[in-house]
Amino acid sequence: MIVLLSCVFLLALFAYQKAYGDELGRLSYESLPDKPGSGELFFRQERGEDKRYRPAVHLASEVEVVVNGLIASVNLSQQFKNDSKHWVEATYVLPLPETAAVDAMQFRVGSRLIKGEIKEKNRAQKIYSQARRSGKKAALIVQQRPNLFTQKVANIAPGETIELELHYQQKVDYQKGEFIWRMPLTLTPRFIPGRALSSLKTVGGGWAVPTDQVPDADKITPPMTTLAGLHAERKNPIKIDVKLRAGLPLEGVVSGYHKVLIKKDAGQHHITLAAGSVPMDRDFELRWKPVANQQPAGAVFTEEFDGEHFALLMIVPPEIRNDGDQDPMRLSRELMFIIDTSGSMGGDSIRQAKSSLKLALSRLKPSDRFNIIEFNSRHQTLFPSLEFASEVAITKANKFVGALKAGGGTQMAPALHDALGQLRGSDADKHIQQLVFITDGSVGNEQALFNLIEKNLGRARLFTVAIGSAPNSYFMRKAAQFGRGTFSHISVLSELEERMENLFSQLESPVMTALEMHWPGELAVESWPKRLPDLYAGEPLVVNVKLDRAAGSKHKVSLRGKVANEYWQRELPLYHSVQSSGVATLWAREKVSGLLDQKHRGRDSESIRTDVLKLALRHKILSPYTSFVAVEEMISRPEAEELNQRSIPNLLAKGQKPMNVTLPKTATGAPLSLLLSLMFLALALFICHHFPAKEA
Amino acid sequence: MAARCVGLLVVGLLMASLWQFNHAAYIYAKAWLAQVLIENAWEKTLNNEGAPQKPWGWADTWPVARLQIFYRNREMQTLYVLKGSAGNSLAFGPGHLSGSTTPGRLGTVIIGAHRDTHFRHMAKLKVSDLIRMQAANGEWRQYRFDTSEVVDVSKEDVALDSNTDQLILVTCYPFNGLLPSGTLRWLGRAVPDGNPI
Repeated sequence: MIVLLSCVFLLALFAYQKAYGDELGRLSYESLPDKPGSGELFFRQERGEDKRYRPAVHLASEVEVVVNGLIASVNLSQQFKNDSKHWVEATYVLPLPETAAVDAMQFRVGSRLIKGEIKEKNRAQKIYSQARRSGKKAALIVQQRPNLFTQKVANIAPGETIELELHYQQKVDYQKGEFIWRMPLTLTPRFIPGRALSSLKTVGGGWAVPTDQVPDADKITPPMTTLAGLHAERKNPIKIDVKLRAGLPLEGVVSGYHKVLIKKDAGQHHITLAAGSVPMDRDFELRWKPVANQQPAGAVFTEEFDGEHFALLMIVPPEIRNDGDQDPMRLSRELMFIIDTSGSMGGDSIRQAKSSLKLALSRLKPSDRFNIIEFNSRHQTLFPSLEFASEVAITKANKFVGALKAGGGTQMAPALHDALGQLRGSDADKHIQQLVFITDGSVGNEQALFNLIEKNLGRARLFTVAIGSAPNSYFMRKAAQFGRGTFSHISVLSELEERMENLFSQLESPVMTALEMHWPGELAVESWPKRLPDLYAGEPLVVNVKLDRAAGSKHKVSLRGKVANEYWQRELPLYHSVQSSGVATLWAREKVSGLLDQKHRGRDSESIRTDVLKLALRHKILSPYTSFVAVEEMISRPEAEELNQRSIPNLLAKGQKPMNVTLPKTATGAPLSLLLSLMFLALALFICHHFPAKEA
Repeated sequence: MAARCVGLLVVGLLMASLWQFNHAAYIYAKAWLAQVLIENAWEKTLNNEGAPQKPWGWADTWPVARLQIFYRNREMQTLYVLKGSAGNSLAFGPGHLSGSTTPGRLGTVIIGAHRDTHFRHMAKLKVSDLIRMQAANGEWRQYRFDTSEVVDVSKEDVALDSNTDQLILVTCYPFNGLLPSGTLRWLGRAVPDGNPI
């Protein structure tokens, strides 16, 4: 019987193969060309002929920066060149520093200069579309995120170049005796969580569709392109020129990720790229350090604008001593590590993330309790609850970290929620609770995550570690702000140890809390941020203030704080200030940011919008509710000519693998079922035939 | 007694045969019938300036393109491409891989379908066969079948190259394979042909 069954099966299988045999012969697996290896482009180039898609519009940028003390004034000029034979509207998603205050925009065509104006966002959009339709040259810039903007330039004639110029002011960061100025040149594709909204039509030109959690997903996901796939002249080149007037004698100036030439002359450093221009595939970062005994204790910059007086203050607390093991607080720490293992972390990023986490594990004391959560589309926790850092636990943790691989989505919220939940579930009141969050921050639902942190933080403190050559610094900085911790950048493996050492000193040293500023009674002061942060080792306090009149020679501001049960105070004379343009703009920018944060403390968005709009229009800065629009009076595109839309791709960040596609499962069980059905039928007939009913 | 056993065996076999047949018929019927419903949704999409239209009330996907594949200029197959390439889409029609370029834009558009339903004729495609694709805004683009290759998805990653303007059709390989869980994929590449129609 069994022999019979298998015979029938083989027969059927043979018949089935036979039926399709002719098709198989035509395209046999062996005769196909060599298969591509991992990370290769889909198809090799045809012999002799390059069939790669040439972008119709090509972008070249130039950035000129002047740093005066704490303020960087940046001029970014971008040339949009239309290489096609058609009239074009170019769209480009521009990354900018998350603290930038964009205060001017204009464009040039040949010798004509057309100045941009600040308008309410919807109005600006209407003005732009009208100009675009009527054939006038026009430019528009809209804020999508504080570090992500959409630029549109309409009616570029065939062969023509339009130069779009942006100006922004930005505060320079100061940490651990070092000034840092950073500028993103591309972005890491953001993960878009949520369910697709089918009712919305995508208009943004991005690769993602709007979802319930990220309704503007189509606007923040520009096409990405690899350097390898581009012609030499199309690698989104940028020239960088920085004039650094630090106002202090400097020990040195360092560029983290680019080779630069540094010339020193007459009180300033002049920094340019050694290569002339570079592709925009990673952040640019400059760091400068004052000589050892000249580190600033405080600085005041002032500006008068529209009859009002503004000041930017930096106060550096004395070095917070690290008592190490003698510190009683050191004995009871609870540390939660969250590591991002999503697809965007692939390549160099995951290696950097794993190394930093392993370094952090090696610093744990047996008295510390810890846990690790790794997340991509799902998250998993190393231990069910916090565990003492025994030798066994550390070994287990190292093994867990070693096995991590990058892949999948970035479902950050559930991981963060669980991490904060575990810390809150911990009973002891005196423990220091710290959450170290290692990620590239490439998510589209930033606001929801800030809200989650604000609502669930409890006594814990959140420290973000930004990984990769183009992280979402907006998320990193803001998450740390809502988490009342600090943020650090690790973009190349070589800086990992130093940056982690900084972070450890912040985690292990006592914190300065209960900060208060006291102003002379006769001055009316509006100071931002409203809620002063806690200060960690090496951090200064930076505040933006508006005064009703110029500060007199006797006026002083005093800052009070508490470090490990000791009170500390520092006074800063206000008259000893430097006049500097940009102070008023930066105050307005800080206030906009502070107002928007009130959303997470329950203020209704409509009244926030009214305040922000008024402020941004008055100070002429870009915000979520204001845009710059520039329109030329002259009509240049003839009515008969059509306008083509072109998106300019952003470069894939250095060290990142190109976006991999997961090929779908493309077979059903139907043929197998059909075959089985036939087989069973054949067998039934066979049995009926050979065992007729006469035996019954 | 033996006869009774044989009788039961025959009945059992017939039932199993019917059950398997039903299973296969269900898959084929669903694949065929859905395309009819999707055709209506596509017409509505075109009449509504490309706004997504669900083919039936509880659908979690919607048509994003119409494909016309010409085999040797003789036969034409019309297919309505659905958004997304997970099982929920592919049961009803070819699916557009989210992450690849949206149909109608310049770049790499990737469309996958089952080798035994919508893409069952892929083996018949010959070099320079015409493929037309209509985007949600109604615009047509024309491609010519160019090259193909087979990759093993369990062994290698396939990178998305958005610099190249092309259409990639994906289906399981070998074309007449029996088991639905294979790891080989056939990638057929079509290159743009002339101007948009």
